[in-house]
Amino acid sequence: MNTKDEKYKQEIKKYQNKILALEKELKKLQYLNEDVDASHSQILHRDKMASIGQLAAGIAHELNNPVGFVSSNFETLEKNAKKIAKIINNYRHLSEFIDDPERQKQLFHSITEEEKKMHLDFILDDLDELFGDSRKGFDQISKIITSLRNFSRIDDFDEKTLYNINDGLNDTLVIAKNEYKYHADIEKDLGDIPLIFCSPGMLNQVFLIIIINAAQALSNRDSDIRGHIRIKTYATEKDIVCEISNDGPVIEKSVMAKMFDPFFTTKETGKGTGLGLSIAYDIIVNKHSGNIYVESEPSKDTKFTITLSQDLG
Amino acid sequence: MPIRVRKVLFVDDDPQVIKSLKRSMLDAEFSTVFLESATEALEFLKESKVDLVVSDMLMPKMDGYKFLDIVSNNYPDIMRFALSATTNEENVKICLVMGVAENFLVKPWKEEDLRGNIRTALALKEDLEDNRMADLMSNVKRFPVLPSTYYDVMKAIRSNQNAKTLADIIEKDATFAADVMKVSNSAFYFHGKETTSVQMAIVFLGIRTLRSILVNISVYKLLQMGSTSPLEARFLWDHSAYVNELLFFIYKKLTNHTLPENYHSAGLLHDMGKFFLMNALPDKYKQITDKLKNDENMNWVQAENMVMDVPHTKLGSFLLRTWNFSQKLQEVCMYHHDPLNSPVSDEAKRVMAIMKIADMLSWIMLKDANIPDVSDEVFEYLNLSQSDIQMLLKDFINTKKGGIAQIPKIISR
Repeated sequence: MNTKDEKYKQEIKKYQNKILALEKELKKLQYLNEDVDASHSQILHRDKMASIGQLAAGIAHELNNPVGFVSSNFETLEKNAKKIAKIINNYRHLSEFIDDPERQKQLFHSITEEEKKMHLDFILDDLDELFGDSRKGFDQISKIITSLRNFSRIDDFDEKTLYNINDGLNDTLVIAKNEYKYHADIEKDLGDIPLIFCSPGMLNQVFLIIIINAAQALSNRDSDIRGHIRIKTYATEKDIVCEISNDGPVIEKSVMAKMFDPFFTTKETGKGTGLGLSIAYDIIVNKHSGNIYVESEPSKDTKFTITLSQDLG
Repeated sequence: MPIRVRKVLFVDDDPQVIKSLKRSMLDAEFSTVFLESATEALEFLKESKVDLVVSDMLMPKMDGYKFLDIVSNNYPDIMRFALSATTNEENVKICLVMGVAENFLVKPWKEEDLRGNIRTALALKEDLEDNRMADLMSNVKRFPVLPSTYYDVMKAIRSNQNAKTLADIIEKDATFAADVMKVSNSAFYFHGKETTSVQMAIVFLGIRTLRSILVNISVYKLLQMGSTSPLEARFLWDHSAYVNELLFFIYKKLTNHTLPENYHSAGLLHDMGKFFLMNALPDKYKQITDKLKNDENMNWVQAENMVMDVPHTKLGSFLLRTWNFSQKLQEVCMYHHDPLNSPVSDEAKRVMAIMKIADMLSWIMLKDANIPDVSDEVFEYLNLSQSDIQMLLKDFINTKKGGIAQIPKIISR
């Protein structure tokens, strides 16, 4: 009896130890999993920052043009204000000779001459336009900065919120403008779509990846013809759909099979990390339970289609 | 003599930029034309005479790079400026190194800065358009042609090759390689390390300086192949290298800043006109040097004035323009003998004033006779006294670590 008890006890102890060991293993695996999750979101974040970094030169370029003409207009305005003030003073001066019409006439004549010399008529006619143009410049600058702010939303990158993806597409087009504007025209057909529960920062990153890929595909061609990037959104009964297509070269079958794989790239060394589309896939499929696929056939646009459910969350 | 009104053509695809330029140039002392594409601009150039084009770089259809390249080939007399919104330093460098633009200005721009640069370029052009120079050039039987190594390197720079490839091309020519190493090991680069390979030298020097060195070496090699005395050519090459070093050294001492990159090879190239004389007009060169030999108190400028009516400064500037060097270096060639009365920016004046001192010290180190005069005006401008000069020379020689056997005596003025 005793020996039997002893035997059972030993057995129990053995199983208990095994359970403990297994629990330890489980903990370890959980830790590892957390690590993987953490480094995964770090990779996402890093790729996002890298893409913003790559865009920085283009964005600065986009800003320098309006800043350039606004500041030049400002300098002109400064100069013109002085000229106008001078002419006004000259006219005021005329009143001092109210008793000497001959002298007044002379002075009046010389003022008119001076006006001509400083192109006063042009300056006055142009005044409204100068202010209007400068205002346009300021609008251009604030539009870029607002889009950049919306786009980056670094602090709530993982957070989900109600969002209209049309806004995201518009912002992405503004900040990526310098990447496509010399090779492609944009055709937008953004439909009336409902807000969806999603992570805007992540979706914007997907749009950026696809739009920049399209721009690069169009710029690599050896022709002077401008390409087109077409962006369409619409709602179906349960989903919203976003199509981004371009009329660049057809994607080869072998490339199609691998294009969503991590580290797969057709770009020159140093030009691409090979992570872009795999990140896009992860964001759409894993993080938003949506769908992303690509179609590319001769004489048809290469088209990325993203579908996202309307009742996420 | 009435001066022809100069014409400047601005090209930019952004209509707002064009409008703002139009407004700000309303009271300019030159006449202006504004166009919104490179193709329109090329059409316009077929019909009209233009002195200077100021072009945007990134434009749809034909970009500024291609446009300025065509202008450079088809209308070499027209000066070329880039006015770009780029933030990429490399773009600027490549553009200047390749000589696509002679001057690179960035957006946003300051009106006075833009106008000042245009004014200087037009003045420079005016000085280059000298009938007497055309006469002199018609006497030249053989215009200096740079060796193939130079063009191979340029081609490699243009196709964005790395330092390793450039080094490989240079190393094919042993004397070329040796001279590149020599210049890069001069104290003035202050890297604190000895350069041990051509590749390392390229990395340290940067492609702009590399290009100047190549031109300088090329010209020197041409001279050695020619009939003129190779010793004299070596002497002038040593002088150019010394002036370059001294310019870096004194600039740093006086301003506490490093010499601006635009001028990194100013010393090497400043006497290009003399090289040209030696090479292409050896008779004139001999007449001048004979005069100098006969009278040790005479300086180059005095002797030159007696022999020919076009100074070497103008010839040098002309050559640098032909070889597509930047406007800043063309200015140095043209005005380095009288910087303070030249139509150049304050920065250029300061650099060239310091160069006058460097020039004098270099001749003192190389020989005792024919030392050029430096006017009191220059000393005052730089706030320097005679004793400061003595100190500068001593300090400089100390950096040479026994490279110069003895301290030459300073000639009292």
